[in-house]
Amino acid sequence: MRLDEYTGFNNIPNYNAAISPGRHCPLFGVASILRHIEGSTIIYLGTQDCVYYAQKQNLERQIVHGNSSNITRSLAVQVSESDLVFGMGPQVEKLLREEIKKEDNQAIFLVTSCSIELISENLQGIVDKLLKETEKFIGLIPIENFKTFSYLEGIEKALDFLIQYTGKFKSEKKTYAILGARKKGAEDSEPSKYLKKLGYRLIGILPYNINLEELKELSKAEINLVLEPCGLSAAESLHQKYGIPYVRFDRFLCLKATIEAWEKLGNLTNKDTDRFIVEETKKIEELSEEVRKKLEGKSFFYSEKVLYPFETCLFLSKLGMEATCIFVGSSMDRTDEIRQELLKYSNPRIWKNAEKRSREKMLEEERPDYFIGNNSEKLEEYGTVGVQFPIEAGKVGFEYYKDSLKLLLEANKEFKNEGI
Amino acid sequence: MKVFESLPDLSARIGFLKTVANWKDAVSIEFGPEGTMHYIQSDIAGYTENLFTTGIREPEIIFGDTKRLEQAILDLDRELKPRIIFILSSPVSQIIGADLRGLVEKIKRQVEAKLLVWENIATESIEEEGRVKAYKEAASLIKDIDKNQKLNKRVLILGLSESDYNGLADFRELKRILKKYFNLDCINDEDGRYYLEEILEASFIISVDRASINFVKELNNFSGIPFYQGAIYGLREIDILFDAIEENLKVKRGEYWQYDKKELSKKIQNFQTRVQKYSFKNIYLNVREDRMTSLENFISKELGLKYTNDEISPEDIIISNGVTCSLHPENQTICVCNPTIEQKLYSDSIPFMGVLGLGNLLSIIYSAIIKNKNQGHNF
Repeated sequence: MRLDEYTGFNNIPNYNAAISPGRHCPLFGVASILRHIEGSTIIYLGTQDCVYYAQKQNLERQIVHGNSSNITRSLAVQVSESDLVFGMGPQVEKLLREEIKKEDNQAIFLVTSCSIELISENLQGIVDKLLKETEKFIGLIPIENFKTFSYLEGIEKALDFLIQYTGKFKSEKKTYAILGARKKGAEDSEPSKYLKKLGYRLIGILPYNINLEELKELSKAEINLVLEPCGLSAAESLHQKYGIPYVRFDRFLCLKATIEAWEKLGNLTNKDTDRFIVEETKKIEELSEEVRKKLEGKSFFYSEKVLYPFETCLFLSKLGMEATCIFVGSSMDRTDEIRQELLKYSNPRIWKNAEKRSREKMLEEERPDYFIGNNSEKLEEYGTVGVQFPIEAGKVGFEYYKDSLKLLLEANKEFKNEGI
Repeated sequence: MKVFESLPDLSARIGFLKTVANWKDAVSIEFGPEGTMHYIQSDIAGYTENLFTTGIREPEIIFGDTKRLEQAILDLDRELKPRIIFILSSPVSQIIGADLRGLVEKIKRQVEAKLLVWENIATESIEEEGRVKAYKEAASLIKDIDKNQKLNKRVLILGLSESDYNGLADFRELKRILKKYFNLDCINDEDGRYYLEEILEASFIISVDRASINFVKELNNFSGIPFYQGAIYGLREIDILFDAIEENLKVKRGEYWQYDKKELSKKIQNFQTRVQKYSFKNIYLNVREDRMTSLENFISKELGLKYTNDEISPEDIIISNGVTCSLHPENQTICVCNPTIEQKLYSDSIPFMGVLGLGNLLSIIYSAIIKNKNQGHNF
């Protein structure tokens, strides 16, 4: 399939029908978020393998952070054959009641795996009933595995779901929150540093560093910064619910979007960011020119996992490169305009689930100049240069854009091995 | 419904896949969602290139469509040319009632590989059941293989691989001592993997995996291959293994063994002398059953230490699986087997079995005793 035939992720053909290892599922995404929410109980309800691996994630965090009293409590609830045949409503209700009685939690999250969702047990009915009987927050998070593209949607869904827990508080002047950051470093990102310099106070990083109390008070923030795509739905929900404006810094390799983000942040803080934008843009233009001299006319395969694929390919195309094949990872662009723009440069083939051996076969046949993204292939055998854009919690904005250009500039200075 | 505050048991499906991962002429394909296969592969730690899933989407759920699986089997047969393709159901395909046997009947003439189906896998199971099942399948396949001439005396090691904690390091150590003391090679490759097709070429089998016992017995009945079953912790076990090799293969252990054995005995005596000054040394020992006897013997009979497997006290040195170790950060812990929660660094390079393993165990147990003493625990 070519890029011009793309209508959505569901119609991207699998390169291989047999997949290995496969992508993480949304249950992984949901679990990777909820385990950070201290003071809550998470109940993973599902078949043996699913609850084993979800629980493992929670225990991993518990080990890293030690056995503090605020740690997230998690239960792996492994269903039996008879539960799947005859239903499990009464047992789930009993379990939830027991958890409600416990003093060390303020919220209970019930997360179901795909097998449970297939048998259509009315768990929402049980949750609704119990919500009338308790002050505690109880939430059901179905993962909808078969409808979603990747685990990143599970992450986004979990973050958005958590917004239901927030309460309405008076907005506090000069405060901000960071949404979507899952690792340490977000507080030192370019826009966060800027806000701190203006005297703004960071009130929470969802989900990396937040407890239930801080989550509840998230509506106090005057501005929200979205640093990864998975924070976008939560930001939109907070905007709709409390009118909190948000600024997107998740468009890592779109200069126009980064400029717009900085303009918006300037407006929200009543500061003129024009000079900063002009200076940074000038540096980027100079750097881009250098990169262009090196990369003009070079072909590439694209295989990054978490960047927006069309946006990244457009970034490289604007530097004079030509995309010949896109292996989509776990993330997809959210609007079609970037794809349309990319089509002005090239019409690459697009695949999902291409195995390493298949990618190697294609590399051997086509020998692209660059392979962009996660790879374990022996690229040097094909005279192909590997470049992987790192994703770090604190790297966004102009900083990320410049670092990416430098990465391209420095990638294998002795371009193409001779004799291959 | 079972509720776990810690980790549930690993399933039979995972046990099966971890075993198949070692077979270089077999592949498995699961008709199910991608996520669990992703996790299994990460648990195995090395990219095995023979465990696959189809992924499953809404159309398959709604219409019970198995075309994706059919295509996957045809692709694997054509591209990888395996001897066997195992086709596994998943909880999802079991709920929707996908007919895997019907599919195999339909396509079996189009493929070269033997197709074997495992469906209706128990919803609640333990890992060992899956390993037993995998070896049972292997036993049924062996009978189709021509009995190859044994050109050289070679050993097959079962049950030590990347999928187990320290498995690869222990495997490489056993391989090393077989070469050093007997000049024997292994059928397994450097990662412990092997071709089912070559099993009958083995002159001797060392099985560390209890689940393989019926398989090695069948091989013994069918082809007369002698075997040794058990883990190789400590000097006594090494000696017993070496006796078995000498007796069955009519080979003598090299002369360096006597020298090395003397050195190892000295190390053990040295250990005993050093720890004697502590009035009480208690070890909580609870590992996989196929490791237990060998470790018990090593701890109590060779090192002269007391051990328990009832309850964990704060001053106990824990020798156990990774989960138990991780959940008791206040204790001195020594992880010797799966399951683990954290990804352990260096586990593929520090053996606990064999000659180097003995030295490592002495060193790590001694270090744990000293640290415990320094933390004020009353030995």
